Amino acid sequence: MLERRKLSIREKLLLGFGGIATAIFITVIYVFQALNTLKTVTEVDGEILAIQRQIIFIAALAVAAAAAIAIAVIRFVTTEMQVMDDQKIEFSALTSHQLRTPPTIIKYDTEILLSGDAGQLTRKQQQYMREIEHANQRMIDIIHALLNVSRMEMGTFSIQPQEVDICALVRSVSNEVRPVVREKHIIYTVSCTRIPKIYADPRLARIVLQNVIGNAVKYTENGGKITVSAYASERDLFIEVTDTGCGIPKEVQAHVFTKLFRADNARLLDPEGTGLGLYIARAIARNVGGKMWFESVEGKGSSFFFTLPRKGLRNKAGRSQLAIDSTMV
Amino acid sequence: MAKRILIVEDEETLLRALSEKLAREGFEIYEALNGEEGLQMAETKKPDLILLDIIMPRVDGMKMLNEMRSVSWGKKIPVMILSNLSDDKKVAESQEQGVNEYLIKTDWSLREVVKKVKEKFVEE
Repeated sequence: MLERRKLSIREKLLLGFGGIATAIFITVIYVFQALNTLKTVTEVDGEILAIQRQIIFIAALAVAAAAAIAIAVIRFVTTEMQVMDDQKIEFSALTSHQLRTPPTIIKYDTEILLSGDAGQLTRKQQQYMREIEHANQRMIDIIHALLNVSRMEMGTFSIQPQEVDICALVRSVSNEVRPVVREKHIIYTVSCTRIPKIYADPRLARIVLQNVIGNAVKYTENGGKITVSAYASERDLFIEVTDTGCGIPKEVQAHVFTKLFRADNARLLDPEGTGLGLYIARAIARNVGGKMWFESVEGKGSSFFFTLPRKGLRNKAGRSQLAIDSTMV
Repeated sequence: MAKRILIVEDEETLLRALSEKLAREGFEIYEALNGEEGLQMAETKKPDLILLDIIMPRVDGMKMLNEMRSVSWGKKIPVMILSNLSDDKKVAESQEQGVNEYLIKTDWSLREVVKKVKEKFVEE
């Protein structure tokens, strides 16, 4: 069905509107002709009435034809757009499947080798195997990030709102980073009490939190400080993550939310980042009716803020949920 | 008696890894490389659990699941989807067939899959 060369939507629209224009043109001609006839027949009342009826009939017929064509065109174009959307979604879903399969094989096999199930490895071999495992996890995370970007840009991701306790979510994400926080002796504070529950997509909120908190942990050096706080206004819920990390140089601040952008000082501290995290986080915030912004001074630290609307988030049907990173920092 | 698990997976390396890991954990394992083989195996062996991939040649996972659920012997066999296809429609479809675990392979280590399988048996 899809192999046949199809007209583009623009071509179809042109054809459709051409059709409607022709129908209207024909109507006008008919009406004019009828009016002309009417002029010549002025004597007999009965005949005039008959001709009037004829004019109304023809005009109604032409209008009905034009309307039918218009409906057909609109239906045609929407079906076509639906087919295109379905194709895009299908492509994205299949690509994700194909891309994920090889790293799954590596994941399983390295796990088996490291567990000793296939024979004991030497210490050196274990070390190499862990590097493979780590690199593979990076690959999986990059695939997830790219898929999220493509789902976001194609608008094919779903939003599934439900009642969410944002403080519980903040605590859960904070627990995920705890090992690194401890290792780096970071003073990590969460200030989130008596925040009303909101209607949000917990998965999306988690991705945003993971990105912002994960960055704070990544870019804050040993002994630094991170504070995560939440507060509510009448309309929105505000989440703020402040760190005493490396900060963002003023000259590159405008690019922070640009896809694939990474500041040099960030790259030095963490060569493995994808440059997609904040792009995705802000896109999510915007998609769910929130905002994201930051304040930062190089060498002193950064504060990232985002808002989520307290209510009114609508369900958005999509074909895929966004993927959550399994390793944040 | 050891619980019996049928793994339906077209990637042979993944099938082997899953199969060996679960066998080591004391489960009895049956293997199938596509949905068609999976259906036959499920009918003859009546496993206690099926680990089911989605995208497979001949008969894919969703088709196998739907066909199995349409016959009396297959209505009650617990199924866990283990696939790299993330597609909400498939998740919803599998839920309709009574499948509540839809795991994306890259997100779960073998150890975690084993844990999930054991939890599933505890549930019952």
